[in-house]
Amino acid sequence: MGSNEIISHLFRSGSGRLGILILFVMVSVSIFVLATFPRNFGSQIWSDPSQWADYPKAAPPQWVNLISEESRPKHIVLKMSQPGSENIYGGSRTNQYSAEFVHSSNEPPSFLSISFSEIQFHTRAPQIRISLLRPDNKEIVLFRHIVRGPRAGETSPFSRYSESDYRTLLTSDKIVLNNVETFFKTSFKDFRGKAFNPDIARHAIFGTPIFEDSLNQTEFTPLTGRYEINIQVISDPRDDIGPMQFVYGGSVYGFMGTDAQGRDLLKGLLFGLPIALLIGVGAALLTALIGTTLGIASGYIGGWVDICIQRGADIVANIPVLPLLIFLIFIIGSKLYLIILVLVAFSWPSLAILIRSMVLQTRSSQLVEMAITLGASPTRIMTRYIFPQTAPFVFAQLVFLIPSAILAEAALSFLGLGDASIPTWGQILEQGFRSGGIYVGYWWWVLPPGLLIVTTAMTFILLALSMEQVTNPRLRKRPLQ
Amino acid sequence: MSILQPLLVRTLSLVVVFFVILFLLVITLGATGFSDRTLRSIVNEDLRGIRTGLAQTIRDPDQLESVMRERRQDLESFYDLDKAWYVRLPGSLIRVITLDLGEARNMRAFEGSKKISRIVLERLPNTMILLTTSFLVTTVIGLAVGTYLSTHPGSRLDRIISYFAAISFAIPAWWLGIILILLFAIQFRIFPSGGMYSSPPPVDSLPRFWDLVLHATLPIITLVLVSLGPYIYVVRTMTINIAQEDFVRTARAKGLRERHVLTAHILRVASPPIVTGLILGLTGTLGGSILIETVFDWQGMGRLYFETFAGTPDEGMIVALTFVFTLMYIVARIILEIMYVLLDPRVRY
Amino acid sequence: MSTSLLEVNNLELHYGPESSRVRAVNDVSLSIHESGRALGIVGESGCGKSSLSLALMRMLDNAVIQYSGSIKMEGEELMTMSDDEFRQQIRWSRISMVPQGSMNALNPVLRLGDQISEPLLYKEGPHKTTKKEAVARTNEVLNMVGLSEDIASRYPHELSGGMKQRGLLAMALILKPQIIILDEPTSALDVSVQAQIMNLLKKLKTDFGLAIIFVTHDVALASDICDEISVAYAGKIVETGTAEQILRDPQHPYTKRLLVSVPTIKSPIPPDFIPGSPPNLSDLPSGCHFHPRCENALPICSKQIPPVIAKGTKHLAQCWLLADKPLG
Ligand SMILES: Nc1ncnc2c1ncn2[C@@H]1O[C@H](COP(=O)(O)OP(=O)(O)O)[C@@H](O)[C@H]1O
Ligand SMILES: [Mg+2]
Repeated sequence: MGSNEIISHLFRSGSGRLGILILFVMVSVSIFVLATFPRNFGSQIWSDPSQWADYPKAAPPQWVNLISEESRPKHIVLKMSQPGSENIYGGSRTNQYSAEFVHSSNEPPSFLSISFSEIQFHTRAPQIRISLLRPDNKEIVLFRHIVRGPRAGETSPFSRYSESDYRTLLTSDKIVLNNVETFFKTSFKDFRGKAFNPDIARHAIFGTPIFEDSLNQTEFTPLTGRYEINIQVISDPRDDIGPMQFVYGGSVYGFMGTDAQGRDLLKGLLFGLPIALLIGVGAALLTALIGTTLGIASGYIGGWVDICIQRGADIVANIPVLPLLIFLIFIIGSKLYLIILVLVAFSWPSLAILIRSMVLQTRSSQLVEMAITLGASPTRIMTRYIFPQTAPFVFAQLVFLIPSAILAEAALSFLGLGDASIPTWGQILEQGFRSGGIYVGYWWWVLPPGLLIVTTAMTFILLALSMEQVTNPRLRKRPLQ
Repeated sequence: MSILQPLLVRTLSLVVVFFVILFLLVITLGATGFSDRTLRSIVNEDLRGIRTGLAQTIRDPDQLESVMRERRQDLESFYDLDKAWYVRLPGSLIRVITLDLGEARNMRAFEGSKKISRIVLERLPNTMILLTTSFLVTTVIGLAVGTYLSTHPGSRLDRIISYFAAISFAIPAWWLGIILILLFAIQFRIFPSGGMYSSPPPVDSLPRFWDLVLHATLPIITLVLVSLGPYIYVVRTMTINIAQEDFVRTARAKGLRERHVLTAHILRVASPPIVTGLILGLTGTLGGSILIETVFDWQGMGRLYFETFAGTPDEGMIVALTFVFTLMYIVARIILEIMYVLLDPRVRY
Repeated sequence: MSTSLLEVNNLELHYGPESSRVRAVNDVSLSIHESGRALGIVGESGCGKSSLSLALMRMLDNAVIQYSGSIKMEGEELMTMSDDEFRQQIRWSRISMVPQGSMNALNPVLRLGDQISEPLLYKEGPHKTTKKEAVARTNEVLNMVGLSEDIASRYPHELSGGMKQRGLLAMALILKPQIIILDEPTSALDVSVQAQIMNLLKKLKTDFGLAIIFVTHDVALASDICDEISVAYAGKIVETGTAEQILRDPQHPYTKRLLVSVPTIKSPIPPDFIPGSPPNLSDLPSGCHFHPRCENALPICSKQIPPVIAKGTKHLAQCWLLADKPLG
């Protein structure tokens, strides 16, 4: 049976076609990911909390707004690099930056934050004032900031926030809370609110107070509409002010949502795809290589080689895999390549045993006997005559080994034994589970990685099943007696 | 007796496997330096405690250092750290084999004992509850549906089950468990999301039992769901294949009832592979219990095994538990071999 | 006219699917006059002999799409019985069989004795006995077929081919049937065992008055035990006669060829094989099914089914060559 036959058979069966289609999509996405993601995505981006500070935490995907009645605020990032107006008066310059956004949800944003970067000043430290203009034309001054002045021994120009941005979480900053309270006391005469805790502040900034005596705490009705964030920077005309970023933290985010650390799950899940394929295909290839080599050697050479290999296979095939897998990975360390190697070490026996029995059959075939008579060397016989006979079978087994490796790695990751420098679906699931995400219903955190694992494994199982009809003679249609 | 010899051969080879595994276990612990490292860190920790204690009484730093050195030597010889791992570890292995599992460093049994054997014995029944129940449920449903399907090959249900079986291979049991928690514990609030009893647990035995049943339902459903599809399929396929054999025709020719032909002939001959499938499934579940018990916070052996690795590594505990797991596994396999030899006279050579 | 022990008329058994209907038993008529007689069914493999045996036992495969005709036993019509009645009253108790493929005909995981006594214990009806009686009866039939009683506790894989065949025979005798169908009982055995089995069958036939339907592809073997022989070709019986008549005076060209194809030591004529291959039962030649392989075929042979022509008492053949005045 040639490989052509296998391929044509794959295309003939419905499950084979479906498998090939999904595989094609997965490979394309993997290529895209490998081309666009940095190599060290895992350690440099995924595991670095500062990369994810300006993301909403544990936010479901944006499209939940389509299916739920209430529309939750979407995440908005406003970048401001050029001032809208510039005023120079009496040796000082006033830069006015502003940006508009629409708050359309009844729910306030999960947070507001502002960050400045790369400020360089010459004499006086620049002063920054941030205010928010509401749809009711009232303006809340949220925050005033004076860039840190010259240190002892420092010479002009003074550079600030060039290595890392200066970032303030407006919705939990004490000063901001005070400012908001002041605003409400001055703008609404009857306001008799209690102390502002961060949660009330979010409702207050994006709402109008309700004045009812029956309420013993101030409540707010949502104020939807167009808001404008204004940033005023007063500085020396020579000073450089870098880009600023205002973030209106959504309660929904992106296509896949975020985890409790604010990480964009879409990115992690995408990156997990090539990794899953690498684990599956890598482990399967190695297993097939070792299993076939040992099987052919065992069947063809025979003697004590056979005995050793078969006893070894017996032992490995009879051990409780998962406990020992955990044991080994724990002891030798959870590096991805070690995980793959250990998986291989556990999965070669079944292939070696099967290949051996096939070799024993083909060894006595006429072709092989002729080759022996003609004086071909054992190596040549094994590689040229015996291997091709077993090849289609090995190939089908290889496809079957891929999902097992992917599932085994996922299980290890789920137990916290995954390679921390490389995010995998199993690890994302583990974090979702370990952080208690499932008990508060963070379905978007635990469903997609699991579904991806299942889909990927299923793809290869579909392929293997549709190939099995060709490679497993027992499954071919029985002729009638 | 002809039946004894194959039994002995099979059992012996499994026992050999068992010892080889333990041997490899020791090599791994020792050769990777893991054993030395954990013991050394324990010694260091002990010493830190001792130093703070001694610093109160001994003021002279030189004297303190020399006392500390002495203590270090005492501790190292106490933990056998002054001996090489290949001297030290076989000793602990032999103790484990003689079921002297030793004491845990950090973990305790619920009743307070530090003895590993007590901790294990406390957890073992909990695991058994899950495994045996799901095993029985799977067996009963699998046999019933499998034999039914064998008489209706190609029917719609047959096709559904074949997809179900294929999907079962691809669905990790622990993820399925999470899904069930999300659905039935969080969304619909029908079952508790984890643990074995509510807190506080009911006092009377009947409500207490009912509480346990409620808590066990989701983990058992999970275990059954992942093993059922493939199992039904094995039963079905075996039954169909065997139903085509000549001897079934002979049995029919005898004018026996169709029910009798199915049970006394077809299923009887199919039973060795079916039992094999079941017990292999059970041994798989044994490993899977580590994951399932973690997901459902079930205080069993699997959960214990996981905790042992998750906390500060305790070498004695690791060796003891790996030993117990391997032992359980090997025992299951030996039962399998015995059943096989009893069920299929052809292997009694 | 006295009633025959077994009288089969126009029996049909076809396998599906409809689009390629296999006429494995095609308008077959045969009879066994009384007990203690043996009828041979002889034909090449694939001509439907096993299907005929199964049809007589109403052992219908799922693939069967037609089963019709008449089977009368001592004058009683069996075809009108319900499946359950037939199973309880006829199958194994009045007609039993030794199926083809004796090597796999025994359940590999049950002891021979249990398999033999099974109908006594589990079959509903008048045969039901106690366990003790069943053991006694099992020992009895084992003795009848020349096996010692301790064989009962053996498993099939512990038996030789000849022992298995005897065991199957014992099994078929357990309910004291009147007719026993033997489907190629000796094909898988070596010659000396074959002879032993044949002697055993003859003994059973004479000593116990058992009626035998002996199905084989080997005419010589059939003639050894059978009183009458029917020659089957492509699902049909093409010639019927006493063993003597068939051997000495074959009428149908197929019978003739069948006889010369058997190698015999004394015969001066070298064995001659029948040219061509047996027809495909799902796509039968028109007219006489044998005409493509017949040397003397007439034009009419391919057009019309030949008539059954009597060539003496009890000697019938279905062939145009025998017709007094072949038409056209
Ligand atoms: N169960 C069945 N389903 C369909 N066709 C069958 C079945 N059994 C036998 N046949 C067909 O019927 C024909 C006769 O077979 P059989 O009765 O076994 O012949 P014989 O016993 O003479 O060798 C063959 O062509 C065979 O393929
Ligand atoms: Mg036949």
